[in-house]
Amino acid sequence: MFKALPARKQPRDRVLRCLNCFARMDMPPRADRYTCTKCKTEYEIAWRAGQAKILGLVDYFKD
Amino acid sequence: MPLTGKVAVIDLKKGEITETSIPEQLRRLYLGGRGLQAYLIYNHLKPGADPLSPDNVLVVSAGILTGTMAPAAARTQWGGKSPVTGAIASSNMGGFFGPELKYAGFEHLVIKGASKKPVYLWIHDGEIEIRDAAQLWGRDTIQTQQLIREELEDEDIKIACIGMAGENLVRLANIRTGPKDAAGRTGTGCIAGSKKLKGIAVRGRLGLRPAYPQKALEYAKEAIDKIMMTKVAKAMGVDGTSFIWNVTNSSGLLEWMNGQTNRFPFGDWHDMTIERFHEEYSLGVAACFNCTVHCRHQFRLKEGPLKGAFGEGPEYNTQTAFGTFGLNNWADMLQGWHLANVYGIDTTEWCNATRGVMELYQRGIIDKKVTGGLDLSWSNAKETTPKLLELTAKNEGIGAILGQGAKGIIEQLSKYGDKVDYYIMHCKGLGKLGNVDRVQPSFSLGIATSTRGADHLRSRPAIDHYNLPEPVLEKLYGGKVSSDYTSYDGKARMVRWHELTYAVVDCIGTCKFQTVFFSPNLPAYEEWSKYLEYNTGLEFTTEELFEIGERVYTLEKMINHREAGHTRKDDYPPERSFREGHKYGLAPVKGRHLDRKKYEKMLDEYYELHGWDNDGMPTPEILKKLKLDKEPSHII
Amino acid sequence: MQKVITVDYEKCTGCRLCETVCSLYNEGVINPELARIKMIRLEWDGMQIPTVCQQCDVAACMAVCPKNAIYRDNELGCTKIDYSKCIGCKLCIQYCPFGALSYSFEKNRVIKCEFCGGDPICVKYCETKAIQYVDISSAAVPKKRDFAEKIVMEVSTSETP
Repeated sequence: MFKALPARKQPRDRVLRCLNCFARMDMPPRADRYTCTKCKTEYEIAWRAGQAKILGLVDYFKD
Repeated sequence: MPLTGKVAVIDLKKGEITETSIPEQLRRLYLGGRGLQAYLIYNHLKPGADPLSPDNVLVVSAGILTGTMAPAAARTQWGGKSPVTGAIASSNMGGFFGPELKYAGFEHLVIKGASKKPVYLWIHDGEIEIRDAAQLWGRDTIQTQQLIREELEDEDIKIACIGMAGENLVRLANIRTGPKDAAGRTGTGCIAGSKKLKGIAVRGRLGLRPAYPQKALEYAKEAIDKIMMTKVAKAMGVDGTSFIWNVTNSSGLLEWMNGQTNRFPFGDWHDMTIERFHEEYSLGVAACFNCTVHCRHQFRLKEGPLKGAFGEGPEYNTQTAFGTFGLNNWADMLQGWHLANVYGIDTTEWCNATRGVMELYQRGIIDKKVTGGLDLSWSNAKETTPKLLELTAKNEGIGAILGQGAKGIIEQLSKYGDKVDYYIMHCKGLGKLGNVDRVQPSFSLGIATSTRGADHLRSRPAIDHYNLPEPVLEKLYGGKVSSDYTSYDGKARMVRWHELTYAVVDCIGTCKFQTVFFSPNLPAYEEWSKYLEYNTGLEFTTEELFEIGERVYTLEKMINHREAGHTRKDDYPPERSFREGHKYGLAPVKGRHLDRKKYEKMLDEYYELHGWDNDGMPTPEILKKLKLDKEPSHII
Repeated sequence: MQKVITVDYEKCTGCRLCETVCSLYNEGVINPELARIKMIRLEWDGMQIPTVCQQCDVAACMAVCPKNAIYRDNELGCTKIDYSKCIGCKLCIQYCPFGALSYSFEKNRVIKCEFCGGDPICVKYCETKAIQYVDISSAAVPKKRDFAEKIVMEVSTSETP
């Protein structure tokens, strides 16, 4: 089981950018999903040492 | 003074070693590392040499700052004439080898000729010995390191060596140190194998004295604090380079099945994530020399014939490479990765070759007669990967074809059908990565014009993806560049700026990942000037450093022209990038491909910015300005 | 209150910054061979273990020194070498059970960690806090905390009701 090493707090640890329209996305703490307010792309969200990251798309390129 | 590092010219045929100091005039022109290496290659390589002949050179170059008190000052460049492309061989390695070489008193090694019998170099505290490597020949890259440490009775010796692949003159063979560090691309391992050079062992106790010790120490902390306050430092520190994978996969910027699709076709993409790796395999993370970012993973294999083996990695490039041709889980990908590491096979080149050949198999252009009975369907990759790696390492069967890289593959397999070269995705004979560049003019131009072939480290302007405000880009690049990564506007300027900047980074020997490669907030010219001044005493302005980048890049171009006849015709991405758009992807990606006319115009702009003519050749004016009209000058 | 350098090897990434800054600060040269702290790498097992002088209360180095050149600075809580007395016999290097002392072949003298006078530079540069400089009374608290977190995780993920 992986345990992340001590890491510094970065001021924008909860800010992400939508990959589709580049709108700013402010993550609520411990969110596991997030919908871009501008273009409605839905993301799966994960966390690394308190920093939000995009895990993937909820609808991964449906036909 | 830290500039005590010498150049040693080692003739393996005669067994002769000569050492020279590096004159300051060459420092001011080429700095060290990759820059001085380009100079040494141009001056020492016999023009037109066969890369597998004793006339080729193998040059090992630590950065001017490698081993000093600069953050992540870990890196070493390896080069010569590439057995894969016939143009410049050039590859950069991390870990701990470079600093040790500097502590042993050397910055560059120029290895010429060839030994009759297997040998290795033993370099320690100013001395170089050529030692018998009979007992090491045939050993893998990890065993070799262990055996040398045992023989010389010192666990702190750092060793760079080849595996079976390099010994068997597999063209894409690499040079390895530690559990996974490598001078990966362009076949430097094959050059070493052709010289019967099994490896180089170094141990240094001479140390380096900074010009301004107190300032060097304090400024290092200042730079480290700046680096560690960026988001990317944490992303790298936890997920390694794989932090990129989730983002590119979710955009449709990864391609599988040799570029036929950009939606993961082999199952559930969740199984391919670094998060899954963390759950199932990760033991933790480790770092290179003097680096606070610690971006390398550590794992242990849990099943299969290599069960229990410890390994480092994977990298984003591994994840995309081993994931592109049918492997759909970490167990299989890590096994392939680890096998490639112990055999001494460059994973980027090999995976590119394998997926190219698998597409030929898929399309019925080649069949089992050619593959030696192996079923190279994508769905059979789990079975074939270990076998193909072994055949490649032994230079046998279909492995002998894979191991040659793109040009060899096209040459050998074109007899089975036309359009073979359409399916082998390369630039200048070096395979491209498994990411989608056809939608992104800057990435496409980058891989097409990179002096070593389709490579992502020569110029990859990753920040093109960040949609940074145009005023920020204009300030950084000194001209207008579009924020939109699908646009052509200003991208020639962007690519050239990154090319020259990364050349400077490779001259100084600090890690690219702690620079503008990942973020405009990471160290750049201002910081490097200070690293240089405090550690070496040499002062350089931003303009002078940028000109060094220009000089180095142009010299590499001259090497390519002299050795491989490269001109404009070689500065294009794969034809597929112009013809096919991907079916899936987010709005910027879906359906998009390169526009030929716009690409040509961008290429024209790129040449103009470089001061080259319309055929991509340096003009007499630019050669004079960069003092390259004096080369080869044979100063050292 | 005395302070100690604590080592949590699970946090060490093997970067060697502790060695390079120690040698530069204390010996004026970048040379891990002249550092007073050493990172031991078990390369093929993926383990990195910082080792440093334990500043023993009843020190073997003190006991074995024929010239009583090693003494204890009680304020700092560390043992130090009095170079006016040291004859360089190197018995201390041989007898220390931790291998904490070493010999500077540049200045021809025995060297050991002396906490950089109270502000250890290695600790300043260690990004992951594998080495820390803490009050002796609370030296074990991070470990206690790690252990407590582990227990809570085991209990909350175990299947028994």
